[in-house]
Amino acid sequence: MNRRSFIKRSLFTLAATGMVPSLFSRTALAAGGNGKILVLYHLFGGNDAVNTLIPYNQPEYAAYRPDIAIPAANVLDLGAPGMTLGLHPAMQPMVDDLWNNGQLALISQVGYPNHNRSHFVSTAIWNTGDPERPNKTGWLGGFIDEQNDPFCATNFGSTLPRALRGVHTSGLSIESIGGFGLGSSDWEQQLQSELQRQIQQVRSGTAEEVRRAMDHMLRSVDKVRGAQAGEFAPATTFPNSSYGRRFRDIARLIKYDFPSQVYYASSGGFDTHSGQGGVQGAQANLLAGLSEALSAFRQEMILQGKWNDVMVMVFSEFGRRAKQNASAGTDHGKGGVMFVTGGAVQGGVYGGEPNLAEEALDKGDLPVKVDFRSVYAAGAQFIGANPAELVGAEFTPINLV
Amino acid sequence: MGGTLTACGRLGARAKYRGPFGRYEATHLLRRAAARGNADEADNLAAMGLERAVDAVLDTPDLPTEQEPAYFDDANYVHEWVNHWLTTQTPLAERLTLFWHGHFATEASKTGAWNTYHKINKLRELSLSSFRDLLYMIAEDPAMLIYLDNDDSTKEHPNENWARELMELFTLGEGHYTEKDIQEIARAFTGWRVSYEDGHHYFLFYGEVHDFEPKTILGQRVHNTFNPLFEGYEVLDILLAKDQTYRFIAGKLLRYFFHPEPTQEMVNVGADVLKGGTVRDFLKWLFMHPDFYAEETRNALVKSPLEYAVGLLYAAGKREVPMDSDLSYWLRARLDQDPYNPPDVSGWPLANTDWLPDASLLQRLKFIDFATQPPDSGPPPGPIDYSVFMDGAVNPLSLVAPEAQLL
Repeated sequence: MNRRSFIKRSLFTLAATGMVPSLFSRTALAAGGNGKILVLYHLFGGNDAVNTLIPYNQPEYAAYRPDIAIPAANVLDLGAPGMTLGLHPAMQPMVDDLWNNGQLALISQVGYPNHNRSHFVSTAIWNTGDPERPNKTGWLGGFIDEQNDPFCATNFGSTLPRALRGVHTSGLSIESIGGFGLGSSDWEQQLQSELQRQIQQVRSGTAEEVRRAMDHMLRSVDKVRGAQAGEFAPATTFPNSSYGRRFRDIARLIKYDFPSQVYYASSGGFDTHSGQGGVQGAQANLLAGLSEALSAFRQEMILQGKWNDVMVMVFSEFGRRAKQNASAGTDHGKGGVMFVTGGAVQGGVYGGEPNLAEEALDKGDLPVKVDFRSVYAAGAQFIGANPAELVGAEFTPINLV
Repeated sequence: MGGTLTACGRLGARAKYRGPFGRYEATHLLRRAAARGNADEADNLAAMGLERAVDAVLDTPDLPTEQEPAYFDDANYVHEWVNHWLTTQTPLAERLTLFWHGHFATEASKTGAWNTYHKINKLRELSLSSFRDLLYMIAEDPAMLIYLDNDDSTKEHPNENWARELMELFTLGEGHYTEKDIQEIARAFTGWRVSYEDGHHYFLFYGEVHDFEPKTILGQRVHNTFNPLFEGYEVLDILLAKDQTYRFIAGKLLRYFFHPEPTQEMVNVGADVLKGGTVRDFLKWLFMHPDFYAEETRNALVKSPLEYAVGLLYAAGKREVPMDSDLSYWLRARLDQDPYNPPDVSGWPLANTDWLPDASLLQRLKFIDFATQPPDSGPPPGPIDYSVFMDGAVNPLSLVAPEAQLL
């Protein structure tokens, strides 16, 4: 069942019971959705692009990184035409399942002009899509406002990212599907009835903000109940990691035709100023976790028959310096690397092979060659939104599908 | 958000509150200052009159006896803090320490729990002192030196993590310095390291890795050939001489103790008070300000999960939560505020809306049952009194009202 039929079914059910909240009628009218799904995954901390998509053949590579360079023998060469590039050895599942099937797009040297090396400012820019004025709403806020439906975008985690905040409507935020709801004990039922009574009464000031948030929460609980009630026994084993749990929950909501067209999640640990590791170590563990989870997610989506309707975009707020520091780590840099995958995605390296020669660097960093908004634009286009409205007409969607 | 606070423009930001100071006003002061209390405590404050009441809440902090690390694991550290907050005679120090811990954030998962525990104790001790004392302490703090990798910084490859956050998050705020300043400050702090003796980390200056060349920071030359250690202190002094530092800190303190959107005038006057005095002076100025008692200020802030948990346990008569309870699990895993592991170096959010996603609100409702249940054994809890915890409470079911989330 696609999004449109989900809405029809909901409307039918509600009409049958004589309660048609305005939310649903508006949604049905606005339902511009095309059934496609965009998954955004933020690697917080600034993932080191040089040790992820590795220009291992350039002499500077090993010279810049005596403690953390990946030996050429371990790099997973991509065989990309005209380039000598490979992925970190911890990403074997991504190579086997995504790259070798032509479904992994690697966007090299991605970022924005005048890069800000602050984690927080840079994250705000990625989430708002506006380096000049990181405004209060997210780059998908316009989409969520237009749909007028908080369930059209779901975050996994307890802090709603700015990407999913609109002016009038914001996305849903849940920690995990299993734990999302009040229990069935008498006490919890009493709490829920009293809460329903309390939130009828409009307040002012901050109390009103809380009241609206509680109203939002109650509706979300109701909505997630469908996915909780149904059995979910994926044929694939999702790894028992934060990545695995997030992608498993996303797959579960997709299976139960949850009306979200956007899913968002994030994981930290990428701020590797010291002890970054090489073939093994801190960054390797993070990339392995992501890689295994993505591979499992692809498998599950194929089994659900949804893989062609999904696009996953993995990003980090910036890349790191070309040279390692004295702590066998790397400091904040500029151009990063994005992974985009999905059944319809045309695999390949976008943005070209990074050049590590001193004079080609931007003050010691990989320069930015691809604006992240042109990648976002491709994601917006995929879900049937208007890229020009979300990220600006000057960013032509790059041809990923 | 509450309405615009126009009163301060008319009255002048240095004006003193001259209105009534009864239980209603004292409840607001107590809730804001301590995030816990009851009607008797509010009445006692009201009986003192405004100035003596403010002095009372700003009393010198009670310091817990430091426990040897063997006694604690991570969860117990969290638990111990909550129990201290529930029993201390100076609960303002706990809310203020939570502020400083969020401001100068370190994560125990990287520093080790003991180092962060020790850092929190030092922050509590200095919580009402000058900002200068706090900054000097944190610069030498082993948890911070480890957390922001200064321990690994050398003249060949200065690590920029501490230098960047020192300006972006701890003093000036983003946009008031250049990348070059970051690089120069990183060089000035080379050699600021930790040593490990008798099971603990200590600050140590290790000259062999220090960069002895001159540096230029925010246009000022720093070069101390007599004692290179002092270059770090000179950097702190440069930052402490900037008005912007006090505007940045005063703005954060006002968003934590006053209103989500303080006026620029309040920020400017607060910055003056903070620059010329101590954090105690600043809070005394704020707590005696007419706008602090305005209706738009009352219930304008959303409690963080730790404030919510402590306030609710105290209101439910709990004065010590047994160590074998699920309290730390509630805080760390469900309510999503692990006091020993802030989300990142920027600490916890100060914006009200950041505390209000569906997942967090739901867990706060579930926590009501845990907090208000009588204990299975042992003495019954003290009197149940929700009047300071929230306006308008009549029974435990009232705790689902939006007002329960507010300070």
